[in-house]
Parts: sequence; structure tokens; C-alpha cells
Amino acid sequence: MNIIEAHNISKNYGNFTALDNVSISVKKGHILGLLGPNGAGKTTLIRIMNHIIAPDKGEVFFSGEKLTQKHVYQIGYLPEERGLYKKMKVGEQAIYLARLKGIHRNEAIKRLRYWFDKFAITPWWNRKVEELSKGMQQKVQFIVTVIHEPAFYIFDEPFSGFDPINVNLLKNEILDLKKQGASIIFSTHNMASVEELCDDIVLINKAEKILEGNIKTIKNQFKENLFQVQFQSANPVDLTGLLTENFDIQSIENNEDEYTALIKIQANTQNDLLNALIPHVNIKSFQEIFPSMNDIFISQVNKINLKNN
Amino acid sequence: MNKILIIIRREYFEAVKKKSFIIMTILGPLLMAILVLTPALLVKYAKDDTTITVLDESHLFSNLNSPNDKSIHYVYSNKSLSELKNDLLSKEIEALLYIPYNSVTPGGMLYTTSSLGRGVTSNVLASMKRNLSNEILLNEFNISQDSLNIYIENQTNKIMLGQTFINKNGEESHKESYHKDVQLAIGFISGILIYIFIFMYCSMVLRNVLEEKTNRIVEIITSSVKPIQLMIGKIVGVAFIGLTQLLIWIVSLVILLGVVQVSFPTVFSNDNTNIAVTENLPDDYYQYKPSNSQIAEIQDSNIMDNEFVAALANINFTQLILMFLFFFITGYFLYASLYAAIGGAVDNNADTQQFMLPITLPLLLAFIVSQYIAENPGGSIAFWFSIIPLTSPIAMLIRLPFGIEAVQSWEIILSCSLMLIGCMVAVWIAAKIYRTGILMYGKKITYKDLWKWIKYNQ
Repeated sequence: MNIIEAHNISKNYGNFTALDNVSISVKKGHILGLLGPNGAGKTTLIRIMNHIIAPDKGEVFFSGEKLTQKHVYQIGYLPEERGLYKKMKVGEQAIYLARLKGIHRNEAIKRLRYWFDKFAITPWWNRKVEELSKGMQQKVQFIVTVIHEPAFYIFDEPFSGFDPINVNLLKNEILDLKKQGASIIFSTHNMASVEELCDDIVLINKAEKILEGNIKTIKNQFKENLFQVQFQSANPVDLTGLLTENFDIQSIENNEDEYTALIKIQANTQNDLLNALIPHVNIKSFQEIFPSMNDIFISQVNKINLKNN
Repeated sequence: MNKILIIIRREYFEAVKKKSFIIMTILGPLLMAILVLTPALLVKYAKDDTTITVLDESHLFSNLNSPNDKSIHYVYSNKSLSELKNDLLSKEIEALLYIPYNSVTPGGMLYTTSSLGRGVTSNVLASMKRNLSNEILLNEFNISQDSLNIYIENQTNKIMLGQTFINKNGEESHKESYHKDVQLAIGFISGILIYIFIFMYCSMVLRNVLEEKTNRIVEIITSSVKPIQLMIGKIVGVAFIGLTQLLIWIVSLVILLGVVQVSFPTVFSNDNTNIAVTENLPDDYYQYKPSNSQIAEIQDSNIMDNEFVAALANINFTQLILMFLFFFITGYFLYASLYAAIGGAVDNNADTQQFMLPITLPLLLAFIVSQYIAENPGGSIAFWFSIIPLTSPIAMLIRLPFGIEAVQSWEIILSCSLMLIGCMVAVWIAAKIYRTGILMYGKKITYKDLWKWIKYNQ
């Protein structure tokens, strides 16, 4: 079951194509990583799913219904470019933004108190926003994104401008939201956080979708049968002599008698590799190396760009 | 709808709480009051009291002190001229007026050590003339100047000069000669007020829109409300701020003027001695008839006052006030939405300039040609400027006080209808530019871009 589905979305700004026939969907309870270089069309797609702008072609469905303004209150959107009124008091401003989401004033105050306590910013309630640090402002922005407790969230570069401690805090909050059953689109350049948080990804480049799927499936799809072996040997080891040509030794390093080697093998021959090594060395660890999302991202984008040129 | 109300509330209360609003609201009427009162106060109180010692050898000027002008005080002396000159040198006396005996023409010499206040010499001369004329009236006609004034005033007040306008159809209409100036003044004042208010509050809209855009809070807000709701909310919010400020100003100005009138009655009334004197009319008041030439020489400011009141009474104030409010509100909405569109389209204050000019131009033009409109309120320039929505708020208000001869009812209806249509078109165009513009950053916007945005479906 998908919480949101965007079918064949196209959007042009004059001669510039922002999105070309892009379809994405978010499974209920999943976190979808929306990836792509700058200018790929991510923000346009997010705005279309948020009903801020309309697509030239294509349709968006929210919980199976055609997306309308009323669904917007069931979406929590944290935009990439975000700010607050500098001269306005923090508490009042949070109440204002919560009320714009359709929450009654008293209910808004109650919920805001809870979140302000949780994020330890209650003492700042009556201060002006300009007195707050950037991190604190981001916390306020996060709070007003989740204040109406929607079932679906869109976080556009949520970690930009946060210090590492607050990044962790926010990461845990996002995982908490997922635990409570929320579905999330998570748009970022930070690939490490994608691997940590996302279940699925969609990769967009130059207005087109170039890759999508479950993060594990994709990693499997792009794996290069690369294995890392760590072993111990009292005598110097000559791997090239031990292994046949089917095993391509990419690198080998040693620290006294501890060795770490990266070996590329033919598909499903890892047992042969182990069999070849075990008589000669003490195996410490053996694991397959999957490509990082970062590597996949860069290789895919470059491949497409080269093809177009 | 509810969201727009929330936006209006925030816009309103945030602005009203601001120090700049409070300062401007307090300083506004103060500045206005100062502007109005300073010239009057200057005339009345800037003159330092001067005491002039008089040596009158002609015995023709025994009553130089005037009840109306207390700024110069005359003290008569019996000392000799040389003694008085010494007193002047030793600063015992401020100034010396020496009037020698002269059978042919009476006259005097004013001795001073330093220059006296502005207009003292002419004041002294005026006092001497008045004194002499009183002497002549009493001695030769046996009547006092005051009684004569009252008599003349009563007789001449009945004089009125009429003016008849004949329009193209040969229809005649009557107006008093003085009316045109009053109409002109009222038209100009309303026009200028509209001009100032539109610019003041529209700049506020522009500033607020730009602030939201540069802050990027607009991104957060558009995730829960439509851009057009935000825009309308802002415009209406600022309109309420303007109306609040206007109301505070009007009320405080009325109170202030009331206080001033009570505390300094002389500032507003030219002369209240006449009233006191009327009670003791001389017995021969009605038998005495002065010659025509004497009437002509005497000027009475009361004629002007009466005519001023008559001219004011002739103006349809209900219509004028309703029209003022109509054009104030619609003119504000028209320009405010265009300003909001500019604020939404550009990235920073510096970029607003290129788009401001074409919007400001029509209003400025209306302001510049307002003189021609006032000179010929029924002419074709006046007609076209008061029909086109961008200029009509100013042009129509200048024409309206001139009444039905200048503006036909159908013209007013046409102007108002076009203004409403213009308003809707402006809001529609502005909404299209605004909703695209507020989400665009870092791009230098051209007119071509604006045109493209207007053409977008959404």
C-alpha cells in the first residue's frame, strides 16, 4: 500500500524541463530517499507532491485519492530553504505556523510545550527568533513540521546547518516517526544518512528518474563481487602465488602479521577463495563489500551525463 | 478563509506592536500639527514686545496704543528730545518716536540703537495712520472708527458676487466666485492624502513580502497555505494597519486641535474685539451714511470667512468622503497587489527598482497633471485620468469637489466600475507573479520572466 503516488509527472518552465515523466511512490511506513544532484528536479517534484505547484502532465494520488489542498494538512513538509520571522517571538511564531496547519490555538500550545521540552528550548519561548542559534531555529522548524502529526512527511535536506549532536537528535526523531507508522520522503545529498535511514531510494538526474528500488536490492544489483579478507600469518604471504587467475587481487595491506586484502571474484566463488586461503593463513574475517550509495550515485550520474554528451 | 484571517491577524498585531509603528503614529499628528500651527504661532508670538517712547509735539497722535496689536507699547513722555536721545543711548528706553509739530504734513522720526523686530516700522506707521484717521473721524464726522467698522460691515456683508457657468448645452449654473479655491484646496488635499497613503502602505506590503521571501519563511508557510491566501492576507492586514493609523491620527488631530483652540484662542480667531464693541452702538449709528469711497477703502476679513463657509457648505461631503474611502481602499488594493507581486518576484531591495518605476509612474503622472485637472475639471485630460484605474484615485478626487458641472454621475459610475475591474485584474496578475516568484531564488528577474509567470497555469 502506498501513501503517495506520483504518476508520470512532467513540469516545464518555459524551455527548461524540470521533470520529465517521473513516477515515484512511497510505501506506507517506509522512508524513501529522494536523491539527485543539484538542479535535478527534486524540489520541483517535492513541491508538486505538496500541492504548492501543479504539474504540466501527470497526477498525484494521496492515500488513493487525487491530491487536493485538503491533503496538504496530512503532510509534514520541511523545506530545504527555510526560515522564520526574525523579529517575532519563538512561541508565538510556532503557534502561528501550527494554526496555519489547522490546529486550534490551545491544542497547538499543548503540543508545542511538549516538543519544546523535548528539545530543551522551552526557555526560548518568549525570545525573538533572531536571538536563537541556527541549530535552535532548525529545531523550531522541525517542530512546526511535525506539530500536526501527519501520516506523511517530506524532509528536504533536513540536516543542513545542524551540528553533529543535533543531527543525531533529528535522526532519532525521524526514526521515531517511522516507528510510529509514518511514511517519509527524505531528500538529501548526505549519502551516509541515506544508508542509515532509507528503505528505498529514487535517483533523479536532469529531470529524469534513472534508478529506483529497495536500497538492499540496489546494492546487490551494483555489487562487484568484491570481498574483504582479513587474516593473520606468521610468515610473509604471497597471495598471487596462492590464488588462481579467477581471483583478482585489488589491494593488500599488512600491519606486522595482520593482513587485509580486497579481492574481486567470479560470481558465487567465495567458497573457492576461502578453500584456497584456509590451508595457508588464519582467517580473521571475511565479508562482501557492497558499493556505498555514494559510489552508486556518482557512477550512475556520470554514466548518464557521459551518454548524453 | 480561516487561514487568511490568521495571516491578517499576525500581520496586523506584529506591525502594531512594533516600535516604528508606535513612533510613526505618535509623530505623525505631531508633525502635522507642527506644520499647521508653526506659521500661525510664528506670526502671533514671534514678535517681541517693543516699548516705544513717544515725544508728540504735534498733539495729533495721542492714542497710538492699539487694542488689537499688543506687540508694540507706546509710552508718552514730556522730556526734551535731547534728554530722550541720551536715555536711548544709555538704554533706558528701547526706541524713540519723535513727532514734531508740522502744519502741512504730519510725520515722525523713529530713533533706535539697534534694529527692532520685523515690521516694527510699518507697524508704527500703521498705528499713526489709524490714530490720525480716528482723530479725523471723531473731529470732522463725530463717529468712532469702531462704530464705523460695524456699520460698514453690516451694510457690506449683504454684497455677493455671483458667477454663472454656461455649459455646452446652454445650461446655466451658479457658483460663488470664491468656491473654486476651496474646491481646489479640498481636491488637492484629498489627492495628496491618497497619494501619500497608497505609497506609504504599499511600501509596507512590499517590505513585508520581501522580508518573508529573504527569510525563506515563505517556504514553510506555503506548505500549509496557498500563496494567494498569503498575499491577500498580507494586503488586507496592512490595510487594517493603515486604517488603524489613520483613525488614530484623525482622532488625535481633532483632540489636539481642540486643545490648542482652548489654550490659545487667539491662534484661530483673527479679531474678537468687534464682538465686544457691538454692545455700545452709538446713538447716531443709523443716521450716519459714509461715502462710497470710504466703504471701498475698508477691508473686512469677515466677508472672506463667510464665503469660505458658504463654499464648504456647497461641497457634497458625504459623496466626497465615500468616494475618498472607495478610492483609498481600491487604489490601495490595486497598487498593493502590484507591489506584492514585485516583492515576490525579486530577491532583494535593490532589484525592486527596475519594476517600481512603471508602477509608480501612473500615480506620479496623475499627481503631476493634477494642476491641469484642477484648472479644467471638466476637460478631456481630467476625464481620461479619472477613468483609467491606475490614475483615477487621484484624478477623480481632484475633480469631485467641483461638483456636477465637472463630473457627471455616469463618469463617477464608470470610474468606480473600472477601478473595481482594475483591482481584480491587478490582484489576478499579482497572484500569478507572486506564487511563482516567492519560490524562486538567485535569479535576476526580467519582464520576460514576469510575462511567462503570468501565462503559467499554476
